[in-house]
Amino acid sequence: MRNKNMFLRFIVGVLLISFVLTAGCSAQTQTEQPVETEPNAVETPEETQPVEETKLEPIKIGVITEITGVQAVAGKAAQESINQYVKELNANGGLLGREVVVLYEDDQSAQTVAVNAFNKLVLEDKVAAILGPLYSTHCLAIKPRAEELGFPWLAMGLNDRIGTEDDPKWTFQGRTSDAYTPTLVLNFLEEQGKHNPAIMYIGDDFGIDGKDKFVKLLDERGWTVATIEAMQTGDKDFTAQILSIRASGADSIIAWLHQEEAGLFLRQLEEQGVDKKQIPVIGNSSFLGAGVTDIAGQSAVGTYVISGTAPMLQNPEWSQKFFDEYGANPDFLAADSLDGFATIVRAIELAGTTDPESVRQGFLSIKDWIGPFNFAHTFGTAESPQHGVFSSIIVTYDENLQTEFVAQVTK
Amino acid sequence: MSGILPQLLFSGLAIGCIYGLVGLGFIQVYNAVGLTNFAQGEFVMLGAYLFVSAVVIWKAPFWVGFLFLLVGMAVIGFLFTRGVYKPTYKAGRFAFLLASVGLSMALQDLVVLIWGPVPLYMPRLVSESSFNIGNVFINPQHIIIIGSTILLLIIQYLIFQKTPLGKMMRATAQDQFAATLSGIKVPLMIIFTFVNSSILAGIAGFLVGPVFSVTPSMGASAMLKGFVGCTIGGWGSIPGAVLGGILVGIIEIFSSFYISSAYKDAIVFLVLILFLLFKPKGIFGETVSEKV
Repeated sequence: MRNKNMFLRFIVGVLLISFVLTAGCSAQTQTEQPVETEPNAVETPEETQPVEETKLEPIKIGVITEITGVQAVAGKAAQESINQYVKELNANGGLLGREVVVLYEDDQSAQTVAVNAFNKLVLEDKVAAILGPLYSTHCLAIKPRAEELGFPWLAMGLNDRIGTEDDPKWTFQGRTSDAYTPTLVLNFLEEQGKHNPAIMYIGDDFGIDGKDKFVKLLDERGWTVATIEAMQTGDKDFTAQILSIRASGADSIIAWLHQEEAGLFLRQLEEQGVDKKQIPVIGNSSFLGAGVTDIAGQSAVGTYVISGTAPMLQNPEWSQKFFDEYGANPDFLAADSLDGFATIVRAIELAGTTDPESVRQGFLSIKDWIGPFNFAHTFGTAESPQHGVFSSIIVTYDENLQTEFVAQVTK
Repeated sequence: MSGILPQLLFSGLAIGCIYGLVGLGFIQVYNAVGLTNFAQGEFVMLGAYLFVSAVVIWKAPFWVGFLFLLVGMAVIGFLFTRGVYKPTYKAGRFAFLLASVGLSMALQDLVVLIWGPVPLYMPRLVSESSFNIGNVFINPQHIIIIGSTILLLIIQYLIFQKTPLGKMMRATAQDQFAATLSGIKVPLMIIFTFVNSSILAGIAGFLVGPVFSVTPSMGASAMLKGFVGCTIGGWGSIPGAVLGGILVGIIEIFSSFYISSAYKDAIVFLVLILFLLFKPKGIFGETVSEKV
């Protein structure tokens, strides 16, 4: 009996640690695993061919986003900006003379659900194209299925494996990927005279890949890495990591986090006496997220952020319209979602029809197209055919916690 | 850099106190009914949201917000007893466990529906900024957390040891059948136990909200670490739950600094496994003989 109790407790302990390693630690996407499919789905590319449609039928565009789960803040932002855009688009004649209908699927901030959502949109709802999630982990989970089905979609995650690994044909990437952003960050630090940064990253596909790229680039430049510290999604206390950074002698901090962690990190940096004038902090676009300045307060002042979108600066009129409708300023999540959706609309426009191959060609035909936030989109380049955006903006928070332009940087 | 050790100890102690408070809620329910409530973390979250609603959204004074939190959590504890415990306790441990897990998921999504997914800011009781003593930076909220935990433990001790209600709750926890024979209204004591643990969780949310921000997922990590703390401290032991939680907080922060911040959670669970293998009763766990 005693041995049985011990054995049972051992099993419980192993289950708990497995839970932490799979759910709480880095979510390395296992792209070689078989993907779950709908029970009655037929897995042939022919299934993705649209049925014969009349010109009066609305064009359905799918959006997979995080409506529930730990990343639900992204889904809310996406829905608000896209709904507003589609209302205006339809009021102005729609797309190819047809009404646009958006079908949202909640990925519940989980990879397997994201894949199931993709299956449903393609196989059941027969959408024309799909706007993918903003999180790399979920995009990497969807990608093999999209390639298998032969269906065009625009991923909004930043991990460059989305647009390059395994030579994808149907997966496009709508934000400046981490193939380029780390170089732009280091160029900026060099201008500041900083060559010994600390790296603080979040332990998922996005954070780990970003960290690996920074480490590689730093090595190529002959710079030193003062220290590398990690956190997991949902972590709240970073005392140990910040102490390590303080002890390391870092002259700057590169932070690659999600937005709740970004706000907490900035606040705790100040609470532990880190002076951003001496040790500048440059973060990824999450540092422009809704709620970051609420959590960080004045601790956010002077933080540099590199982002594809900074809507208040890049499109103040749209930002005002967004505020008028929803009572809050848009953040990068709202802006990126809108930019991605508008890119899909552009691709379908160029395709002239909604069959998957034509839409795919439509994406590849986008050249120097200026999107809603006044930066260029170009797909189909020889170097990187699936990537569409190669520029970023660097901003900082001023004393009033408003974003202030610092530089426009391009690969 | 001097001051590292006291800084780590102080922060680890503060975070560990939160885990200890969550663990205390676990233990009270476990002692009373022999079940583990996996929605305890979400009760922490609900407490924080109730307070933020009163003070930030409705602009009520702090004391009104705190009172609203206490009353609200008491109601939630009562509803939980009637809505989850009562329908499932006869069906066995797994029925209740699954029900509480399901409730925790439902509560997270309900909170998103009501308050939205954007993190909310909870104002602090004292000054925003930290102060330093030598090389150690002290967050005043951490002092409040530690002090409040000590005060709550004293209050819990006084309730359970010195009041008739507390004695009846202890009698119920020790032996429900004997308590019934003694004339104690056992179902009422069970309700009080759930209400008490719910209030404790809500207070934990109130204490930790200003430090961490208020999000739908804020309770999940606290629940897991509180559970680990109970196991390390010893199921059934109230001091064990609190000290186990504090130990988890300290192990977490020390392993993050001295070993690896990427694997701090894995290290905590490794310690758990070692305890399960070599000291399964926990530090203060009691041997309880089963009736045959």
